[in-house]
Amino acid sequence: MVIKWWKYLTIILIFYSIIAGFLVPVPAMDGRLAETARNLFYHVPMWFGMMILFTLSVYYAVIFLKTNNMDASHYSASLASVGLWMGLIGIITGAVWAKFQWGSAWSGDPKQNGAAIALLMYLAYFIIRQNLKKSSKIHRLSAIYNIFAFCMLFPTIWILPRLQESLHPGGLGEDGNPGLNPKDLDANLRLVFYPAIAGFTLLGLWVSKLHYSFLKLKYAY
Amino acid sequence: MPINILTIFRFHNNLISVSSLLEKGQKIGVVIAVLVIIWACFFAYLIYLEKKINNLKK
Repeated sequence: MVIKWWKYLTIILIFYSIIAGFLVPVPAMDGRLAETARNLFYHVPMWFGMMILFTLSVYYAVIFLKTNNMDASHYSASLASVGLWMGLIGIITGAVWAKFQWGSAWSGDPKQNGAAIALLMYLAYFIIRQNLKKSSKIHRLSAIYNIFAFCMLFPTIWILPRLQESLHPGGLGEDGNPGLNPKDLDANLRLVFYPAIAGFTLLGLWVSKLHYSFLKLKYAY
Repeated sequence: MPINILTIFRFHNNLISVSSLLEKGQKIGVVIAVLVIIWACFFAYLIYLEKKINNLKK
């Protein structure tokens, strides 16, 4: 079996993120963030990965609706499934960080609530797929719902939390996208942050591809 | 032996006493080593799954 080059790259990037993520010096910031700033390397890449996987998932959902190609439906479901897992890990890593920084794992912050609503909507996608297992309309209905859930992702995660005051970076009155704004991020952090985004996103694609192969085999027999 | 809450507490206390013997740098080293081992196992499992699925496809 030949492992493709991007899978080796994934392994290298993930190990680099783990090792450098714990060793790279973080800015003192008056002791406010302290060592918890390292969560940036593991929490934020989950959301980047999730967004990329959900975008690809909706792309394949549209392809399926246009062509009725079953492979596109399997791809779409696999990408959404792994994207949801990444979102769940993102929310958990965020809650762990919030426990130290905000005093509570869940403080009903607009960003936390928005992320939870978005993930619940994607959870409903899998409930639809699970309940319509024996129906011939499973693929078509789930593809349509996927487009709806993707459209709702933007207001719940990106728009509404930014219109309100938030404990989370990027709330009302702050410029740019937190994590991408050059004023927000120290150069040392960027050395680990960007490879971590690439590594975790590639890992998401790798797991999605495996899940797709599994789905294809499952439906073939 | 069934795992009960006291066993978990004892295990946790043992971890804390081991942890108190280590310097800060050593603790980070242990954390990194544990994470690297966990991730190495995860990647090995992914490669194993890929191999298995490829064999089923044939």
